[in-house]
Amino acid sequence: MKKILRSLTASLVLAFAILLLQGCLKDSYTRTYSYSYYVPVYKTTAEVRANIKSNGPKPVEKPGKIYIRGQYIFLNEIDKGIHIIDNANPSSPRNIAFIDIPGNMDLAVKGDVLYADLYTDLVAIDISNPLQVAVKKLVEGIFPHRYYSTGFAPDTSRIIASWEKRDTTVSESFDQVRWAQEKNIFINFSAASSAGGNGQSFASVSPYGVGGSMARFAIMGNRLYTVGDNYLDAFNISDPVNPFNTARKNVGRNIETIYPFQNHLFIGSTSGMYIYNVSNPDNLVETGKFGHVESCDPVIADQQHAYVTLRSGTVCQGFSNQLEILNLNDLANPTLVKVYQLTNPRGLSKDGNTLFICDGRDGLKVFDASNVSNLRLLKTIGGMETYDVITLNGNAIVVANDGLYQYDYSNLSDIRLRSRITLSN
Amino acid sequence: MRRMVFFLMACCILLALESGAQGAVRFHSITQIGFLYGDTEKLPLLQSVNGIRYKRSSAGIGLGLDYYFTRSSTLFVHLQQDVLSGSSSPFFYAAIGSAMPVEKKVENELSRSEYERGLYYDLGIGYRCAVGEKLSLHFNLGYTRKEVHETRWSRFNFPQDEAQYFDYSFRRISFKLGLGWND
Repeated sequence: MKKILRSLTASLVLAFAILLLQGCLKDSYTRTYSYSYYVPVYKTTAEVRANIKSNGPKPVEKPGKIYIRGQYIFLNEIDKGIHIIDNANPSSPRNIAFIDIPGNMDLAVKGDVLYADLYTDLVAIDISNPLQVAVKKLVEGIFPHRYYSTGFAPDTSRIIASWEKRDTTVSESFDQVRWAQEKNIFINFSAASSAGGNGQSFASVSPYGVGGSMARFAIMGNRLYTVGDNYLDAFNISDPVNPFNTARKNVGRNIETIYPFQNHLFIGSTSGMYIYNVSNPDNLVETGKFGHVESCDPVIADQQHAYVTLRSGTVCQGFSNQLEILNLNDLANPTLVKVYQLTNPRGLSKDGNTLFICDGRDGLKVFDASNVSNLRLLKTIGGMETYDVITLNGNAIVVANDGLYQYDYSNLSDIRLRSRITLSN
Repeated sequence: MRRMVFFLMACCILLALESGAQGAVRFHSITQIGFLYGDTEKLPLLQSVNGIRYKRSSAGIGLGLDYYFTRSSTLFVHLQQDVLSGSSSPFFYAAIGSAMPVEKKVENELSRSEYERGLYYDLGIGYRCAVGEKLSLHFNLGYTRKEVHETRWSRFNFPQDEAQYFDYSFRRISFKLGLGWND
């Protein structure tokens, strides 16, 4: 009997203990994640401006937009400056100098003057001697979209010359599991960018340079046109070393690229393509628009058609990966001709009837576009993740994640790699 | 963790061999259904334990399904000690093992996740009530914990390739009703 009572007592104590544990009925989790953040390295305005010159060549690390002028390639190093590459012999390009321009993302060239952004400023640089470039003018505060909008407040008395990367790991504990399904991190202190420019086939003797399809700067006649997040600016560059703002127009939201063709500007945004007539260069008139799903969309055009690539998996969101070809017979009302599915298209360029598309990890795709209703894939050059391409005189210059490639496409049945400038990391 | 489960399984086998040597070992099986009462959810569970019984003690290997948060299969060592030697008796039990998510990879528009197994244990008391010569009903009340590990890659957030690691811990009360069978 004693044994039974002892056992029952023990059972009751245990049951009581279990009920007490109800207070411990918690679902919890620990989230551990690593990320890098960037700390600004400041310089005084005087120090920065004094350093905008032809410094010694630096290795290419994070290539951005490209611009071709004569025998030189101007390659943006995102947020840091511009590499000058002597491409007199495309089979053996030489990295000859680096212009330190903090915050630089875009560039364009007219004659002997290079225009570049320095965070919110526009800087005009004399490049008549690429080994001795010189600042001619700064237009301050003209690109408000380059102000930080993520809560980061830089020291406005100085300029951020570079960013110092720091790695950290964070571990957080939470008491309710459902939070884990909702909470995500977003770290975006450094200005992220894609590569790019605007790819018209000007002759190499033109006073204008040639850019890629992802450019935010474009030159037409005596005007430099630039796009910000939601506006289009015109700068008078009749006197190339003395640019000044002549017009500004709100053109929509999330503007990304600008491409000049004849008297029109083709402006790519995440929601569609806008066409602006600039016959009167300071009177920016919208003549047409073509909407599409939310996506990033570099655009180029020729006499009859516009070519727009849409891609997903970016800050532009969207789930489309395709090429849209639009008929431009009626500029006021562009109509869709055909859609071609691609993998993850970015920049593109067209030379005659040959269309080049950077299709992300698939590499560079070359199409016969003589019949836009039936594009014919001629070749896929894989083994690299491509961002933008410029075609000029049988030479395709391709910006990829691991370097700058040049291909000879004078014989389309035998496209050959001419050279490659590899990245330093 | 894995070593501990193997150690306990080895103990069960040794106990079985020892019991068998004394000629008193019997096959023992329990099939249980129940539900888990936790902070976030109330969800069902299923278990089957098979092993040996010697006098007032039993040991076995259990397999189960635990639907709490993420459906998991559980593999555990189960030990039970009756308080009395009669055909009906209160008992204590302990189970320890591993919870393995059934869906190891989950993808959606926002992220891609991979799930890995974690610790599982269950401690409690119960009452075994004989309903025949070999059959018995088991009523259990326990405190159970399941851990699951998730590695998640976001599709959109910067930097996109950085993984986040989630270590979940679920502490619940378990109520089980089972049918036992002794050879």
